[in-house]
Amino acid sequence: MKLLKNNVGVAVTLTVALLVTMLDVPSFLPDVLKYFSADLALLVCYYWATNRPDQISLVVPWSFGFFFDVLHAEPLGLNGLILSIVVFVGLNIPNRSNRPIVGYQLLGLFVLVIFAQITRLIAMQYVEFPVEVSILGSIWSIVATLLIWFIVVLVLDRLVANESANVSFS
Amino acid sequence: MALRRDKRFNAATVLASLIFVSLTLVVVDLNGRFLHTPRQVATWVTNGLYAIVNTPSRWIERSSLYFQDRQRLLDRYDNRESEIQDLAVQVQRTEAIHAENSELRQLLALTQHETELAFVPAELSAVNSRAGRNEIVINRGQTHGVRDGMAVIDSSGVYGQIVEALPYTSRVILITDQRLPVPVRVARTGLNAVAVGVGNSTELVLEHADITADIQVGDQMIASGLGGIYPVGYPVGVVTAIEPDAAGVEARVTVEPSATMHRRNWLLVVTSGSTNEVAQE
Repeated sequence: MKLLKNNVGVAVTLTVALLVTMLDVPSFLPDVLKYFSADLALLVCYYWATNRPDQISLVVPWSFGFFFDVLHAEPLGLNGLILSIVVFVGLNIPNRSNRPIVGYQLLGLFVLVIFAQITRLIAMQYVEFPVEVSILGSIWSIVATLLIWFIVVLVLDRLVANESANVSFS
Repeated sequence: MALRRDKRFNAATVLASLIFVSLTLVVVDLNGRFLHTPRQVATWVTNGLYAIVNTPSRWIERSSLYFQDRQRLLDRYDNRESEIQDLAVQVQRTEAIHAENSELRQLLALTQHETELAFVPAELSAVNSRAGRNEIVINRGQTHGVRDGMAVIDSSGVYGQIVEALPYTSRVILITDQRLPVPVRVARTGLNAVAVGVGNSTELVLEHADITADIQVGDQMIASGLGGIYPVGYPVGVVTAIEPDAAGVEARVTVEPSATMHRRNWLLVVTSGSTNEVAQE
Protein backbone atom coordinates (compact mmCIF):
# COMPACT_ATOMS: atom_id res chain seq x y z
CA MET A 1 0.00 0.00 0.00
CA LYS A 2 1.35 3.42 -0.89
CA LEU A 3 0.82 5.56 2.17
CA LEU A 4 2.01 8.69 0.42
CA LYS A 5 -0.83 8.85 -2.03
CA ASN A 6 -4.19 10.58 -2.02
CA ASN A 7 -4.60 10.99 1.73
CA VAL A 8 -4.06 7.25 2.35
CA GLY A 9 -1.36 7.97 4.93
CA VAL A 10 -3.58 10.51 6.66
CA ALA A 11 -6.52 8.09 6.76
CA VAL A 12 -4.40 5.19 8.02
CA THR A 13 -2.68 7.22 10.75
CA LEU A 14 -5.97 8.83 11.83
CA THR A 15 -7.50 5.34 12.11
CA VAL A 16 -4.55 4.25 14.27
CA ALA A 17 -5.01 7.41 16.38
CA LEU A 18 -8.71 6.51 16.79
CA LEU A 19 -7.84 2.96 17.87
CA VAL A 20 -5.18 4.10 20.34
CA THR A 21 -7.61 6.64 21.80
CA MET A 22 -10.10 3.79 22.34
CA LEU A 23 -7.71 1.69 24.40
CA ASP A 24 -8.84 1.37 28.02
CA VAL A 25 -6.47 2.48 30.77
CA PRO A 26 -5.38 -0.83 32.39
CA SER A 27 -6.85 -1.31 35.84
CA PHE A 28 -3.44 -1.58 37.54
CA LEU A 29 -2.44 1.95 36.47
CA PRO A 30 -3.32 4.94 38.70
CA ASP A 31 -6.52 6.82 38.00
CA VAL A 32 -4.67 10.13 37.51
CA LEU A 33 -3.32 8.83 34.19
CA LYS A 34 -6.75 9.39 32.67
CA TYR A 35 -6.06 13.13 32.78
CA PHE A 36 -2.86 12.59 30.83
CA SER A 37 -4.75 12.09 27.56
CA ALA A 38 -3.12 13.46 24.43
CA ASP A 39 -5.14 14.67 21.46
CA LEU A 40 -3.68 12.18 18.98
CA ALA A 41 -5.96 13.13 16.07
CA LEU A 42 -4.82 16.74 16.32
CA LEU A 43 -1.15 15.68 16.39
CA VAL A 44 -1.51 13.40 13.37
CA CYS A 45 -3.27 16.09 11.33
CA TYR A 46 -0.71 18.70 12.36
CA TYR A 47 2.15 16.39 11.41
CA TRP A 48 0.84 15.73 7.90
CA ALA A 49 -0.07 19.39 7.34
CA THR A 50 3.33 20.70 8.41
CA ASN A 51 5.54 17.95 6.99
CA ARG A 52 3.69 16.50 3.97
CA PRO A 53 1.31 19.29 2.95
CA ASP A 54 0.93 17.73 -0.50
CA GLN A 55 -0.52 14.53 1.06
CA ILE A 56 -3.36 15.99 3.12
CA SER A 57 -6.65 17.59 2.23
CA LEU A 58 -9.05 19.35 4.56
CA VAL A 59 -11.97 17.02 3.93
CA VAL A 60 -10.44 13.72 5.17
CA PRO A 61 -9.58 14.94 8.72
CA TRP A 62 -12.96 16.70 8.81
CA SER A 63 -14.73 13.40 8.01
CA PHE A 64 -12.74 11.52 10.67
CA GLY A 65 -13.90 14.14 13.16
CA PHE A 66 -17.33 12.44 13.28
CA PHE A 67 -15.86 9.30 14.82
CA PHE A 68 -14.06 11.33 17.48
CA ASP A 69 -17.32 13.24 18.14
CA VAL A 70 -19.11 9.97 18.81
CA LEU A 71 -16.25 8.48 20.80
CA HIS A 72 -16.09 11.45 23.16
CA ALA A 73 -19.85 12.15 23.10
CA GLU A 74 -19.33 15.65 21.74
CA PRO A 75 -21.64 17.54 19.37
CA LEU A 76 -21.39 16.24 15.80
CA GLY A 77 -19.11 18.44 13.71
CA LEU A 78 -17.03 19.76 16.62
CA ASN A 79 -13.90 17.66 16.06
CA GLY A 80 -14.22 18.08 12.29
CA LEU A 81 -14.19 21.84 12.81
CA ILE A 82 -11.12 21.66 15.05
CA LEU A 83 -9.18 19.26 12.82
CA SER A 84 -9.85 21.20 9.60
CA ILE A 85 -8.65 24.43 11.26
CA VAL A 86 -5.56 22.60 12.56
CA VAL A 87 -4.79 21.34 9.05
CA PHE A 88 -5.29 24.79 7.52
CA VAL A 89 -2.98 26.45 10.06
CA GLY A 90 -0.46 23.61 9.65
CA LEU A 91 -0.47 24.05 5.88
CA ASN A 92 0.51 27.67 6.37
CA ILE A 93 3.45 26.95 8.67
CA PRO A 94 6.77 26.36 6.90
CA ASN A 95 7.92 22.73 6.90
CA ARG A 96 10.71 21.32 9.03
CA SER A 97 13.39 21.16 6.34
CA ASN A 98 14.82 24.28 7.96
CA ARG A 99 15.79 23.26 11.51
CA PRO A 100 15.16 26.62 13.30
CA ILE A 101 11.56 26.34 12.18
CA VAL A 102 10.96 23.37 14.55
CA GLY A 103 10.46 25.76 17.47
CA TYR A 104 8.13 27.82 15.30
CA GLN A 105 6.07 24.67 14.62
CA LEU A 106 5.93 23.80 18.32
CA LEU A 107 4.63 27.28 19.05
CA GLY A 108 1.96 26.79 16.37
CA LEU A 109 1.03 23.44 17.92
CA PHE A 110 0.83 24.99 21.39
CA VAL A 111 -1.57 27.66 20.14
CA LEU A 112 -3.68 25.07 18.30
CA VAL A 113 -3.91 22.73 21.30
CA ILE A 114 -5.12 25.60 23.47
CA PHE A 115 -7.58 26.61 20.74
CA ALA A 116 -8.89 23.02 20.60
CA GLN A 117 -9.31 22.83 24.40
CA ILE A 118 -11.15 26.16 24.58
CA THR A 119 -13.40 25.32 21.61
CA ARG A 120 -14.36 21.99 23.21
CA LEU A 121 -15.00 23.54 26.60
CA ILE A 122 -17.23 26.23 25.07
CA ALA A 123 -19.20 23.69 23.02
CA MET A 124 -19.58 21.39 26.03
CA GLN A 125 -21.20 24.18 28.02
CA TYR A 126 -24.27 23.92 25.78
CA VAL A 127 -24.86 20.16 25.97
CA GLU A 128 -27.54 18.70 28.22
CA PHE A 129 -25.03 17.97 31.00
CA PRO A 130 -22.45 20.79 30.71
CA VAL A 131 -18.88 19.78 31.44
CA GLU A 132 -17.32 21.62 34.38
CA VAL A 133 -14.16 23.51 33.48
CA SER A 134 -11.22 21.72 35.06
CA ILE A 135 -8.14 23.95 34.77
CA LEU A 136 -5.86 21.19 36.03
CA GLY A 137 -7.38 18.64 33.64
CA SER A 138 -6.99 21.04 30.70
CA ILE A 139 -3.36 21.80 31.57
CA TRP A 140 -2.59 18.07 31.85
CA SER A 141 -4.16 17.44 28.44
CA ILE A 142 -2.18 20.28 26.83
CA VAL A 143 1.09 19.08 28.40
CA ALA A 144 0.38 15.48 27.36
CA THR A 145 -0.37 16.52 23.77
CA LEU A 146 2.84 18.58 23.53
CA LEU A 147 4.94 15.75 24.97
CA ILE A 148 3.40 13.07 22.76
CA TRP A 149 4.12 15.32 19.73
CA PHE A 150 7.77 14.28 19.82
CA ILE A 151 6.82 10.59 19.77
CA VAL A 152 4.36 11.16 16.92
CA VAL A 153 7.06 12.99 14.92
CA LEU A 154 9.55 10.20 15.57
CA VAL A 155 7.16 7.44 14.49
CA LEU A 156 5.67 9.20 11.47
CA ASP A 157 9.07 10.46 10.28
CA ARG A 158 10.26 6.84 10.14
CA LEU A 159 7.09 5.69 8.42
CA VAL A 160 7.22 8.45 5.82
CA ALA A 161 10.96 7.93 5.26
CA ASN A 162 10.38 4.21 4.61
CA GLU A 163 7.51 4.95 2.23
CA SER A 164 9.56 7.59 0.37
CA ALA A 165 12.36 5.05 -0.08
CA ASN A 166 9.88 2.61 -1.63
CA VAL A 167 8.47 5.06 -4.18
CA SER A 168 9.24 3.93 -7.72
CA PHE A 169 8.99 6.10 -10.80
CA SER A 170 8.26 3.30 -13.21
CA MET B 1 3.61 32.41 -7.14
CA ALA B 2 0.15 32.92 -8.64
CA LEU B 3 -0.42 29.14 -8.49
CA ARG B 4 0.53 29.07 -4.79
CA ARG B 5 -1.83 31.97 -4.08
CA ASP B 6 -4.59 30.13 -5.98
CA LYS B 7 -4.03 26.98 -3.91
CA ARG B 8 -4.18 28.97 -0.69
CA PHE B 9 -7.38 30.67 -1.87
CA ASN B 10 -8.91 27.26 -2.66
CA ALA B 11 -7.92 25.89 0.77
CA ALA B 12 -9.43 28.98 2.44
CA THR B 13 -12.67 28.49 0.49
CA VAL B 14 -12.87 24.81 1.44
CA LEU B 15 -12.08 25.67 5.07
CA ALA B 16 -14.79 28.34 5.15
CA SER B 17 -17.31 25.83 3.76
CA LEU B 18 -16.27 23.17 6.29
CA ILE B 19 -16.48 25.66 9.17
CA PHE B 20 -19.97 26.66 8.04
CA VAL B 21 -21.12 23.01 7.75
CA SER B 22 -19.49 22.08 11.10
CA LEU B 23 -21.05 24.99 12.97
CA THR B 24 -24.44 24.19 11.45
CA LEU B 25 -24.09 20.54 12.55
CA VAL B 26 -22.99 21.55 16.07
CA VAL B 27 -25.91 23.96 16.47
CA VAL B 28 -28.44 21.45 15.09
CA ASP B 29 -27.02 18.67 17.29
CA LEU B 30 -27.14 20.85 20.40
CA ASN B 31 -30.69 22.00 19.79
CA GLY B 32 -32.44 18.82 18.82
CA ARG B 33 -32.29 15.21 17.94
CA PHE B 34 -32.23 15.57 14.16
CA LEU B 35 -28.80 13.97 13.87
CA HIS B 36 -29.70 10.68 15.54
CA THR B 37 -29.17 8.59 12.41
CA PRO B 38 -25.65 9.80 11.50
CA ARG B 39 -24.64 9.61 15.16
CA GLN B 40 -25.99 6.07 15.34
CA VAL B 41 -24.07 5.02 12.21
CA ALA B 42 -20.83 6.48 13.60
CA THR B 43 -21.58 4.84 16.97
CA TRP B 44 -21.89 1.41 15.32
CA VAL B 45 -18.50 1.86 13.70
CA THR B 46 -16.75 3.12 16.85
CA ASN B 47 -18.38 0.44 19.04
CA GLY B 48 -17.21 -2.25 16.63
CA LEU B 49 -13.69 -0.85 16.63
CA TYR B 50 -13.75 -0.50 20.42
CA ALA B 51 -14.69 -4.16 20.80
CA ILE B 52 -11.85 -5.21 18.45
CA VAL B 53 -9.24 -2.98 20.08
CA ASN B 54 -10.04 -4.14 23.60
CA THR B 55 -10.46 -7.82 22.69
CA PRO B 56 -6.86 -8.80 23.64
CA SER B 57 -7.19 -7.38 27.16
CA ARG B 58 -10.53 -9.16 27.60
CA TRP B 59 -9.02 -12.42 26.34
CA ILE B 60 -6.17 -12.09 28.83
CA GLU B 61 -8.70 -11.49 31.59
CA ARG B 62 -10.78 -14.50 30.56
CA SER B 63 -7.81 -16.78 29.95
CA SER B 64 -6.56 -16.07 33.47
CA LEU B 65 -9.88 -17.53 34.67
CA TYR B 66 -9.57 -20.49 32.29
CA PHE B 67 -6.21 -21.50 33.69
CA GLN B 68 -7.25 -21.38 37.32
CA ASP B 69 -6.65 -24.72 39.00
CA ARG B 70 -9.47 -27.11 39.77
CA GLN B 71 -9.22 -26.78 43.55
CA ARG B 72 -9.56 -23.01 43.35
CA LEU B 73 -12.64 -23.35 41.18
CA LEU B 74 -14.15 -25.89 43.62
CA ASP B 75 -13.44 -23.48 46.48
CA ARG B 76 -15.16 -20.70 44.56
CA TYR B 77 -18.11 -23.00 43.90
CA ASP B 78 -18.37 -23.82 47.62
CA ASN B 79 -18.20 -20.12 48.50
CA ARG B 80 -20.95 -19.35 46.00
CA GLU B 81 -23.10 -22.12 47.50
CA SER B 82 -22.77 -20.65 50.98
CA GLU B 83 -23.35 -17.13 49.62
CA ILE B 84 -26.58 -18.33 47.97
CA GLN B 85 -27.70 -19.82 51.30
CA ASP B 86 -26.95 -16.54 53.09
CA LEU B 87 -28.76 -14.53 50.43
CA ALA B 88 -31.79 -16.84 50.59
CA VAL B 89 -32.02 -16.22 54.34
CA GLN B 90 -31.63 -12.46 53.79
CA VAL B 91 -34.38 -12.49 51.16
CA GLN B 92 -36.72 -14.23 53.62
CA ARG B 93 -35.96 -11.59 56.24
CA THR B 94 -36.37 -8.76 53.72
CA GLU B 95 -39.75 -10.10 52.66
CA ALA B 96 -40.88 -10.25 56.28
CA ILE B 97 -39.69 -6.67 56.88
CA HIS B 98 -41.38 -5.58 53.65
CA ALA B 99 -44.69 -7.08 54.74
CA GLU B 100 -44.37 -5.49 58.17
CA ASN B 101 -43.52 -2.15 56.56
CA SER B 102 -46.59 -2.29 54.33
CA GLU B 103 -48.77 -3.10 57.34
CA LEU B 104 -47.36 -0.16 59.32
CA ARG B 105 -47.91 2.20 56.40
CA GLN B 106 -51.51 1.11 56.18
CA LEU B 107 -51.94 1.75 59.90
CA LEU B 108 -50.40 5.21 59.51
CA ALA B 109 -52.69 5.97 56.53
CA LEU B 110 -49.81 6.36 54.13
CA THR B 111 -50.14 5.30 50.54
CA GLN B 112 -47.31 3.82 48.64
CA HIS B 113 -46.87 3.44 44.96
CA GLU B 114 -44.32 0.72 44.93
CA THR B 115 -43.43 -1.28 41.90
CA GLU B 116 -41.08 -4.17 41.35
CA LEU B 117 -37.75 -3.24 39.83
CA ALA B 118 -37.25 -4.29 36.22
CA PHE B 119 -33.84 -4.42 34.62
CA VAL B 120 -32.24 -4.56 31.22
CA PRO B 121 -28.80 -6.20 31.37
CA ALA B 122 -26.21 -4.25 29.39
CA GLU B 123 -22.55 -4.58 28.52
CA LEU B 124 -20.00 -1.79 28.53
CA SER B 125 -19.18 -0.82 24.93
CA ALA B 126 -16.85 2.16 25.26
CA VAL B 127 -15.26 4.48 27.81
CA ASN B 128 -14.90 8.21 27.18
CA SER B 129 -11.21 8.93 27.60
CA ARG B 130 -11.49 12.73 27.53
CA ALA B 131 -10.02 14.15 30.76
CA GLY B 132 -12.51 14.97 33.51
CA ARG B 133 -15.44 13.14 31.92
CA ASN B 134 -16.70 9.99 33.54
CA GLU B 135 -18.84 8.59 30.76
CA ILE B 136 -19.34 5.21 29.20
CA VAL B 137 -21.40 3.75 26.37
CA ILE B 138 -23.47 0.60 26.86
CA ASN B 139 -24.79 -1.79 24.22
CA ARG B 140 -28.49 -1.31 25.00
CA GLY B 141 -30.70 1.47 23.66
CA GLN B 142 -34.24 2.55 22.90
CA THR B 143 -35.09 -0.70 21.11
CA HIS B 144 -34.40 -2.56 24.38
CA GLY B 145 -36.59 -0.20 26.42
CA VAL B 146 -33.83 2.11 27.62
CA ARG B 147 -34.80 5.78 27.95
CA ASP B 148 -33.06 9.01 28.93
CA GLY B 149 -32.84 9.51 32.70
CA MET B 150 -32.96 5.84 33.71
CA ALA B 151 -30.66 4.66 36.49
CA VAL B 152 -27.79 2.26 35.85
CA ILE B 153 -26.57 -0.03 38.63
CA ASP B 154 -24.16 -2.92 39.00
CA SER B 155 -24.22 -5.77 41.46
CA SER B 156 -22.50 -3.64 44.12
CA GLY B 157 -24.22 -0.26 43.90
CA VAL B 158 -25.53 2.71 41.96
CA TYR B 159 -23.42 3.25 38.82
CA GLY B 160 -24.81 6.17 36.84
CA GLN B 161 -27.61 7.57 34.72
CA ILE B 162 -28.57 7.32 31.05
CA VAL B 163 -28.17 10.72 29.44
CA GLU B 164 -28.64 9.78 25.82
CA ALA B 165 -30.51 6.69 24.68
CA LEU B 166 -29.89 5.96 21.01
CA PRO B 167 -31.67 3.13 19.15
CA TYR B 168 -29.07 0.45 19.97
CA THR B 169 -26.64 2.07 22.41
CA SER B 170 -26.83 4.53 25.29
CA ARG B 171 -24.49 7.04 26.89
CA VAL B 172 -24.15 6.83 30.66
CA ILE B 173 -22.74 9.47 32.99
CA LEU B 174 -21.20 7.83 36.05
CA ILE B 175 -22.06 8.99 39.57
CA THR B 176 -18.39 9.98 39.96
CA ASP B 177 -18.81 12.67 37.27
CA GLN B 178 -18.98 16.23 38.56
CA ARG B 179 -22.17 16.87 36.59
CA LEU B 180 -24.36 14.25 38.24
CA PRO B 181 -25.72 14.89 41.76
CA VAL B 182 -27.03 11.78 43.52
CA PRO B 183 -29.62 12.16 46.32
CA VAL B 184 -28.39 9.93 49.14
CA ARG B 185 -29.32 9.00 52.68
CA VAL B 186 -27.16 7.89 55.57
CA ALA B 187 -28.42 4.35 56.21
CA ARG B 188 -27.70 4.58 59.95
CA THR B 189 -29.49 7.87 60.68
CA GLY B 190 -31.73 8.56 57.69
CA LEU B 191 -30.05 11.92 57.08
CA ASN B 192 -30.57 13.14 53.50
CA ALA B 193 -27.76 14.68 51.46
CA VAL B 194 -26.55 15.11 47.90
CA ALA B 195 -23.39 13.36 46.71
CA VAL B 196 -21.45 14.59 43.68
CA GLY B 197 -18.36 13.35 41.91
CA VAL B 198 -15.03 15.12 41.93
CA GLY B 199 -13.83 13.88 38.56
CA ASN B 200 -12.00 10.72 39.49
CA SER B 201 -13.54 7.28 39.71
CA THR B 202 -12.70 6.60 43.35
CA GLU B 203 -14.65 9.20 45.29
CA LEU B 204 -17.77 11.27 45.71
CA VAL B 205 -18.27 14.14 48.16
CA LEU B 206 -21.34 15.27 50.08
CA GLU B 207 -22.25 18.84 49.22
CA HIS B 208 -22.64 21.32 52.08
CA ALA B 209 -22.58 18.77 54.89
CA ASP B 210 -23.10 20.42 58.25
CA ILE B 211 -20.18 19.94 60.63
CA THR B 212 -22.63 18.85 63.32
CA ALA B 213 -24.42 16.33 61.08
CA ASP B 214 -24.48 12.79 62.42
CA ILE B 215 -22.19 11.20 59.86
CA GLN B 216 -19.32 8.87 60.74
CA VAL B 217 -16.52 7.25 58.81
CA GLY B 218 -17.78 3.83 57.70
CA ASP B 219 -21.42 4.94 57.33
CA GLN B 220 -23.21 3.33 54.42
CA MET B 221 -24.78 5.84 51.99
CA ILE B 222 -27.85 4.59 50.13
CA ALA B 223 -29.99 6.13 47.38
CA SER B 224 -32.73 8.22 49.00
CA GLY B 225 -35.04 7.97 46.01
CA LEU B 226 -35.62 11.74 45.97
CA GLY B 227 -35.81 12.83 42.36
CA GLY B 228 -37.20 9.44 41.42
CA ILE B 229 -34.21 8.17 39.48
CA TYR B 230 -32.25 5.72 41.61
CA PRO B 231 -33.74 2.67 43.37
CA VAL B 232 -34.47 3.53 46.98
CA GLY B 233 -32.11 1.93 49.46
CA TYR B 234 -29.61 0.72 46.88
CA PRO B 235 -26.00 1.26 48.06
CA VAL B 236 -24.18 4.34 46.75
CA GLY B 237 -21.00 4.23 48.80
CA VAL B 238 -19.25 4.23 52.16
CA VAL B 239 -17.97 7.30 54.03
CA THR B 240 -14.18 7.18 54.07
CA ALA B 241 -13.21 10.62 55.43
CA ILE B 242 -14.72 13.69 57.09
CA GLU B 243 -12.68 16.90 56.99
CA PRO B 244 -13.99 20.19 58.46
CA ASP B 245 -13.54 23.29 56.29
CA ALA B 246 -11.42 26.29 57.36
CA ALA B 247 -14.43 28.15 58.77
CA GLY B 248 -15.48 25.11 60.79
CA VAL B 249 -19.08 25.37 59.59
CA GLU B 250 -19.24 22.72 56.90
CA ALA B 251 -17.42 19.45 56.40
CA ARG B 252 -16.14 17.71 53.31
CA VAL B 253 -17.43 14.16 53.50
CA THR B 254 -15.70 11.78 51.13
CA VAL B 255 -17.58 8.70 49.98
CA GLU B 256 -16.06 5.71 48.20
CA PRO B 257 -18.53 4.43 45.58
CA SER B 258 -19.87 0.92 46.10
CA ALA B 259 -20.09 0.25 42.36
CA THR B 260 -16.96 -0.78 40.51
CA MET B 261 -16.43 2.19 38.23
CA HIS B 262 -14.91 1.55 34.76
CA ARG B 263 -13.93 -1.98 35.75
CA ARG B 264 -17.29 -3.62 35.30
CA ASN B 265 -18.37 -5.11 32.00
CA TRP B 266 -21.92 -6.06 32.95
CA LEU B 267 -24.44 -3.52 34.20
CA LEU B 268 -28.19 -3.26 34.78
CA VAL B 269 -30.42 -0.48 33.50
CA VAL B 270 -33.36 0.07 35.84
CA THR B 271 -36.26 0.34 33.41
CA SER B 272 -39.09 0.59 35.93
CA GLY B 273 -39.80 0.88 39.61
CA SER B 274 -36.88 3.13 40.43
CA THR B 275 -39.15 5.45 42.37
CA ASN B 276 -40.80 4.54 45.61
CA GLU B 277 -43.04 7.50 46.11
CA VAL B 278 -44.68 7.87 49.47
CA ALA B 279 -47.38 10.46 49.81
CA GLN B 280 -49.45 11.32 52.81
CA GLU B 281 -53.13 11.18 52.13
